[in-house]
Amino acid sequence: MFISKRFLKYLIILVILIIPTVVTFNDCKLYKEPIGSITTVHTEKMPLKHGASDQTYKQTLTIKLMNTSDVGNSYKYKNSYTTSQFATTQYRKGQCVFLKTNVAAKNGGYGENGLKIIGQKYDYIWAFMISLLVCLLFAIAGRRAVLIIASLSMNLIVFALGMQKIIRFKDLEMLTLCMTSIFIVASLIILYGFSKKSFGAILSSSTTVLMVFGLYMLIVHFSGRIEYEYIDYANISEPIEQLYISSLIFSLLGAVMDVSITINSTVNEIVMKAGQSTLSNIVKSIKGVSNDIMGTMINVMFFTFVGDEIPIYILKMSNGYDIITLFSNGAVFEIIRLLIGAIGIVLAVPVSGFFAVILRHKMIVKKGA
Amino acid sequence: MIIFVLLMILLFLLGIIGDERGVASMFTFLGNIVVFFVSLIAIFRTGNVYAVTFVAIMGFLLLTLFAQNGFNKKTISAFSAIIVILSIVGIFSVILIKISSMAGFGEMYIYDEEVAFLENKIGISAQSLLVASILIGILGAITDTALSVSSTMYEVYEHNPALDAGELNRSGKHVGWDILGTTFSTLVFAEIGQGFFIWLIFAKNKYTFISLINSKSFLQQTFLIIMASLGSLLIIPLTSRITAKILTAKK
Repeated sequence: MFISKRFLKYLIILVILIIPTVVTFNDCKLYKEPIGSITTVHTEKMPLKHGASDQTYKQTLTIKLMNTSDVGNSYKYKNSYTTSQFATTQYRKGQCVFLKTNVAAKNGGYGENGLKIIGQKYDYIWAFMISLLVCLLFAIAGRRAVLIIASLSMNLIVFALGMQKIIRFKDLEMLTLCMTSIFIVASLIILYGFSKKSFGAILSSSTTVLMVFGLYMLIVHFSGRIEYEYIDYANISEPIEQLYISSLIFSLLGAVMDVSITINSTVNEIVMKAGQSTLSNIVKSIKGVSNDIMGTMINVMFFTFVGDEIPIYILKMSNGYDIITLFSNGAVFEIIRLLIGAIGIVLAVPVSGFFAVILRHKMIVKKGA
Repeated sequence: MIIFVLLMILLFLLGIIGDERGVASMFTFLGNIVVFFVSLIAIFRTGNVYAVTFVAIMGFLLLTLFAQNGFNKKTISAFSAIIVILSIVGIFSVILIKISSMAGFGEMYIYDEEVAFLENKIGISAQSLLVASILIGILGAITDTALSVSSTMYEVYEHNPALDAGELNRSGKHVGWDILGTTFSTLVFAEIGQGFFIWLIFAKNKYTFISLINSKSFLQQTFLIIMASLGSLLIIPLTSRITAKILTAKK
């Protein structure tokens, strides 16, 4: 009747946000593994041991089974956690947990039926976050949201399928090359369509990635053996060096594509809209734009890389690592990744400028005359 | 050795490709590294994660926004928007982290032999460290987006001062939508590369879709990217609005 368009839009967003979250929160019956809901929590503070830096708390939980043939049964469960909560967990009322029964007491089983919490149910958190992101994307970016979601989905599918092949550890170089090509072509074509701009960005991104790869191999060749076995989570029985190089290439792809499309768009706009566009004017504009974006792009890489590592760095420092030791083991590889990413961003500027000008050479000559 | 060579190459390239502003970017980058080191030491020494994070963020913004781009209407608009979005994402992260108890070691930590044997009762809450890592981790993406929007709006207004706040606001949003796709790609690929060896373990252990979305390690690994995407999205309309107001305000 008198419902405004805006109200309807927000109503739809709210429904899209709530339904997946509520459904996934109550989907325990769809799981085969026993799931329990924490219905009551009683927390007791334990006396602080002399010299201990962490306070210990004991919890008595009531867990109600939400599936299996014992659905509805409630059990008591004892849990303890400490203030730092790195290896322990504070449970809260309303949380759903995956359970195991008949676990021996020595392995952490509690009570007559050997109950043990083996993990938490996070699917509803995912449903909430993804729904929120999609809703906001549509609300803020409108129809462009479809392209962004399509591009991201395509990349994630290619990555998931690629990983299935990568774990066979055969033809890693070829696989990385194929995945990289698909990532670049698919992302740019989906987001910017079939245009000279996309074509220029594809050529620029691919060339920049190849140049950075060549540069890295050259430096490694002259600077001696790198102890790749120090990479966090690496398994020394696998081809770690090749895997690390693949990871280096993947991590700089997004930033390189970003710079490439920006430079190609700029040259495109200048050539299409400016009355007269000489080569020196275009080069000047490319320099202006690149100066604006290079610094902030390098910072995006920097903050994304270091942000993730803060908890582990503090944990290591608390275990006696000084800053030098911290950054001379596993973190070296993150610094290399960051520097390679930054070099990729800077190299993408002249490479993109070159391809953008070459592709519009005739028009520049015509307009500049 | 390799780090030194790469750093020299980066400096050289920034010098020849980016002129003085390129070198200024390099100093900002090095300044950010110093602020990061100092904040790590401060967190470790004081244990006051939130206060140190707040001071560190101010230091990062001072360098990234004002030292690199000057103190002007563009950077003031971006700064205001960044502070609001950081507060929103910060509060939102704290709530989600508390509700889900997602901080601490995920199931993957046993694969990192170095970390697995460390003493983990350190007196600093893993939850607060995760919030700090989110706030600092999203800073680059939201600063980039905010600055791109406010800079372009400033250029548009310089060329056409007759535009009103509404028209400027719309132009800012258009720019934001244009860069959103590649900002998301940058974040996703950065995470794909950085967490590559963890993704390998997920693949080797044949995690299904259901086991992935119920994995603590997977949630931790992707939480930063989701929060950064959320921040980059929300900052577009906010920066447009603030910049339009500041630019069209009567002198």
